[in-house]
Amino acid sequence: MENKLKKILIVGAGPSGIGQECELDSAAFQALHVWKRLGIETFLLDNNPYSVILQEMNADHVYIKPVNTDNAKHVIESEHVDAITSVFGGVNALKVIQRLNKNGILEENNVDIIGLNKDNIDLFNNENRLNQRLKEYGIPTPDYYIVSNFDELRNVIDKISFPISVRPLDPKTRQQRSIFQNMEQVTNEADNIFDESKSGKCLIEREIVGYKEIGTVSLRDTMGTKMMISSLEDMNPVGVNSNDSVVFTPSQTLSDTQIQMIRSISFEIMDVLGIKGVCHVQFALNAETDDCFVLKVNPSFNMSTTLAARSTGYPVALVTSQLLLNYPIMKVKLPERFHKFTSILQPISDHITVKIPIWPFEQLPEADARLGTKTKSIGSVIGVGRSCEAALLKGIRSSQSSPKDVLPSYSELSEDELISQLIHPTDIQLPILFEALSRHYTVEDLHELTKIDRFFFIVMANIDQSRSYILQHQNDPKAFRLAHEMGFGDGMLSSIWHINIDKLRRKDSYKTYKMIEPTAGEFPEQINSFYASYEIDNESNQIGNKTALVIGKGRNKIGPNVASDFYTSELLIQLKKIGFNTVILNNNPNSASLAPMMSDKQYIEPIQLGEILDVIQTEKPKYVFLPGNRHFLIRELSKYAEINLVILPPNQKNAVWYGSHVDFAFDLLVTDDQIIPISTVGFKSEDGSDDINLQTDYYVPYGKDALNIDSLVQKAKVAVKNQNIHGLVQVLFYKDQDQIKITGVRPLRITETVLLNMSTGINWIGVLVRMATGHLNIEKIKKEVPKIDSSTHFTVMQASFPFKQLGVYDYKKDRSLESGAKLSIGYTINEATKKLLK
Amino acid sequence: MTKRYLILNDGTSFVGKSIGAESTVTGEIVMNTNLNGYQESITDPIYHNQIVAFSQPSVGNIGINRKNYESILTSAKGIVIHHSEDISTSYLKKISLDSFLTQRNIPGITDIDTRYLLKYIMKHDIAKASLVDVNDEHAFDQLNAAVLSNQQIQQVATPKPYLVPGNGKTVAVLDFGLKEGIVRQLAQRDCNVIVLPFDTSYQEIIDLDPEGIILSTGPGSPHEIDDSVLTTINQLEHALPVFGMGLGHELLAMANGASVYRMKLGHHGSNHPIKKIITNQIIYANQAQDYAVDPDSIDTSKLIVTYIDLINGTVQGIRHRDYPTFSVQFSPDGSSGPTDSIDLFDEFLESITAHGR
Repeated sequence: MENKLKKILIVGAGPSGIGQECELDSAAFQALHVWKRLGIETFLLDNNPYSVILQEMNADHVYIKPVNTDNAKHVIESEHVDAITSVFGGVNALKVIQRLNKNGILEENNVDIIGLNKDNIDLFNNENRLNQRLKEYGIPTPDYYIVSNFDELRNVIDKISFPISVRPLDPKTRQQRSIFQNMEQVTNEADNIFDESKSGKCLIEREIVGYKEIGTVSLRDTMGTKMMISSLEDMNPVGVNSNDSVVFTPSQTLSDTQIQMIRSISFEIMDVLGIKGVCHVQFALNAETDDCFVLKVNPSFNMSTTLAARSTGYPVALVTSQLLLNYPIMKVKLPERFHKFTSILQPISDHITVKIPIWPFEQLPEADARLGTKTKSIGSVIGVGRSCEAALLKGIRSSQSSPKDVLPSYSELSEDELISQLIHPTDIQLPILFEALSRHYTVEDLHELTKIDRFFFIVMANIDQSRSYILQHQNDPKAFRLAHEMGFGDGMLSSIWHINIDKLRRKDSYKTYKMIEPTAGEFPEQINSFYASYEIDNESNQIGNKTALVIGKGRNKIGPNVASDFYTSELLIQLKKIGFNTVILNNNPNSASLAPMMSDKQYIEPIQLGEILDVIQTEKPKYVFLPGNRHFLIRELSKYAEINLVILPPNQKNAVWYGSHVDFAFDLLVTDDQIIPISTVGFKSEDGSDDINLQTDYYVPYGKDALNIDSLVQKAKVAVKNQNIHGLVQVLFYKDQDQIKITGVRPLRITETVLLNMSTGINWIGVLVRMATGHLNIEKIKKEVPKIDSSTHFTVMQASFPFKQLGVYDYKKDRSLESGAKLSIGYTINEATKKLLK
Repeated sequence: MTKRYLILNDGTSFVGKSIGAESTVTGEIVMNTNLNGYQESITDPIYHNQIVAFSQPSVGNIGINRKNYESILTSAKGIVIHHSEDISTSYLKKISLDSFLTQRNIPGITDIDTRYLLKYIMKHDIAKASLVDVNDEHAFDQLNAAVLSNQQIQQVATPKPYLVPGNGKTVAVLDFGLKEGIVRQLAQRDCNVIVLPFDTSYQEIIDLDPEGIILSTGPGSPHEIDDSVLTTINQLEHALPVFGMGLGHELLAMANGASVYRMKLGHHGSNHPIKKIITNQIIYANQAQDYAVDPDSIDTSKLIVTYIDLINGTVQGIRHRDYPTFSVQFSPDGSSGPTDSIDLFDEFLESITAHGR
């Protein structure tokens, strides 16, 4: 029964974007680790440059190409793989495998699909067929009717009551559902809906808006053993996509009977569909009647499975990657740091995790911020606490774009605006609910307006009341303690009480770190993941003498954030390689940096000054790495003489600009006494503009026309010498008629560092880490750097943007708005550019 | 909320706040690690006379619900929790945990580091605990002097027979401190249920003409049960299909010559993998176990071990080789806990059908 597979192809996810950040990469990284140990050769088809596995795998096993059927076929045929999997690649990867299966390529090449049953694979991404199949087994799915004219539509409406949801079948454009409250609305819209369908038919369902939306994440092995990892409860009822809802895990307002019901149904679904490995099921549940329906079945990794893994501490990806190879769960092997029973104990938690989505509306104010059934968030953060209050407030603090540990105020909002915001939630739903509470809206009022379970308002009201108490009890030890227990931060107290944070912190000596592990204390041995509480027993002690702390990026936003998350993970990998104990502080559950094998120890806490100082106090790190441009934290942490702060890459504020046009650039490595030229870089913008901010494509080398490399190197060296920038430095040039002028000198940005890694085959993040810690062998690097522009191929990186998914078209493609990127390699620039698409 | 203390018999004391009744109690302390179902646990007769500490971090979120009682009169002696939400102001019809505990005169303590407590109890030999207002020497003396009742079963089991009518098979349940989940499962299968005092004689039982026998769960030690009950069980398994659960399982094993020992460390939760030996699958079920059947004492010519706890190695199920008789240590009815093994009730009814032929 067990694994006979030798070669597996991972169909990747492509660039990150709306509804997908690094969670798939995080899972794949762990699978890679396991499969390597089991002697399996893994191949990857993907073109996402900010992917840890793409960086860490042997280059000859990585196919940097768009994820499509032709390219997958090519890999299958040239590598003779035994099996293929979409579990790390999301919906697109699944579609690719469905097509490969349909057109016989898998059978022809004798390729297995792991995790899914070939006979059932077409059911996924096809709601109607899936529902039909589940119905055959008595699994409740929403009842629906298909009608082809208005009379039939009216007949159905007589049978089911309003509100109803109607959507075109085989839609001509994108699938869209409309919700109707009464017959008049139906009459007005019906023609449009029938028109929108290729077959002139539409599908009607009883609308279940107002039901609770609950998720489960479960595992199943080849023997049919099943285990529920966690339940996930959306704060918002059905109507807001789960990705866009605040989520509490484990669920907080369901009875045990309801939990067991959805657990059993999830198991039955995995049985009848033959799913092995991990499965996320989404339910609508009427808590009064226990009525429930299956909304979604997703047999692969996604943000929910990752949330379940991070929140329980159960190593979902490490286990799943073995279940996929037909190992029974009893034979799954985990790395030594886990307890021998970890994999077979059904996870239980003695803490609560709250996920808060992150949306890009701050940077894209034109986008419609109202939350609905379509995902608009780009990622999420989590707060972990011993109570719902602490978990929620820590989550909210982590979700703020300001690094200053303050919450936004909406006290200026008019009453009408407030009510409208309550009824139609947007990205500011949580602060709006707090605003309403402070205006003395009752729990009952809020429940009426929002249909959110009263319980969540009780939690919020507790936080609100504590806030009032804290305001009134300046510098009172009782208020101080209450604040901490409720999840308030030192930064918040410092600003509420107008007291310097250091003065405040001297009082704080009762923080206890608790382990995030899946047995609630029964077998806690070695899972090195922690959150803070204020109790009597601290479980986290200094891990060792030679420690490097990396301060993760926390919440993602559009712009080069996915890249800096990748950078964070690479820092950890590289620091480990040179013998440091690595500690990460982060709160983005999707970040690969929080994957169990990525670091020696993880702290999941708000990334605020108070929390950072606390971790530093416990770990006493030799170095504190701060990736990304974080002016506030750089300024604040620099005040402490005992903190050895490493800012990588150096602050972009150090850049020097002489102009704003750019044609090409030169990347160099600058140390105290040497300047090593690395490569030329070319730029391209969508509309041909040479404005530095609008360059969406980078390619290495520049190679467009012959450059006098020697003279450029000289120019660049002179330019660099005049500046005090170390590490990777980019000198930008502009061609003014026949003259080549310098546009600016800047620290090489994260995105382009990734490109340079790919084009030179040198891990430059590793070089920077060695340089910062005194481990760099500069002569060795000199030998490794390829001769400038000697490469036979071009590497291109092109930014991708979330505009279409968010329905906004008025923005210029500026890299500060990118949501991900694509990578491509070709013998000419043209070839490489073409391969971005095909 | 007033200050309270949880004190342990080794001299340890935890400070917290009062919830529920403010009385002082002493009892055995057990850690329940279920993620849900605090109402079920508090009302499960299996916890009669025990102080139950919960590892779930927030208890009381959904108040007390009409559908979630496992018994009406009996309950835990006291509860220990980390955190509780006061929902009383926000749900019109629901009773909050605090008012329920007050009504039932059950004291509780909150704001306890229950994670530390669990680790502490696992490491040290803790038999008894008290919930008190003052943690002085006197309180510890009282705790150490307290003799715990061994009459739990008698205190919770029904003294009088009663009927839960149904149109299906007639099942007699010997009540050792029955949890309602068992009756609920039988009722869902339309059984005609006769609940009997556990010391009902064989002849009295047979005279009622049941088609199958259930030996219920219950609190305390199986050794407190009179040998005559074991004889009755032995006679019953010769005559009818018998299905035992929890305490009923321990008694069935003893009736067949096996011995039962008190575990050094009990287990109260539903996270342990239980291997179903015949299929090699793992299932999960609610376990509330302080005693276990000694596998070496099992006469393998009579009994087969059917389930085993993969964590502590305890026997979780047995089946008789010659009779349609089987039992499990865990609670297949769920409430609270997983329902992975709920089909055992169907299996029992099928064995009745087969036996009748």
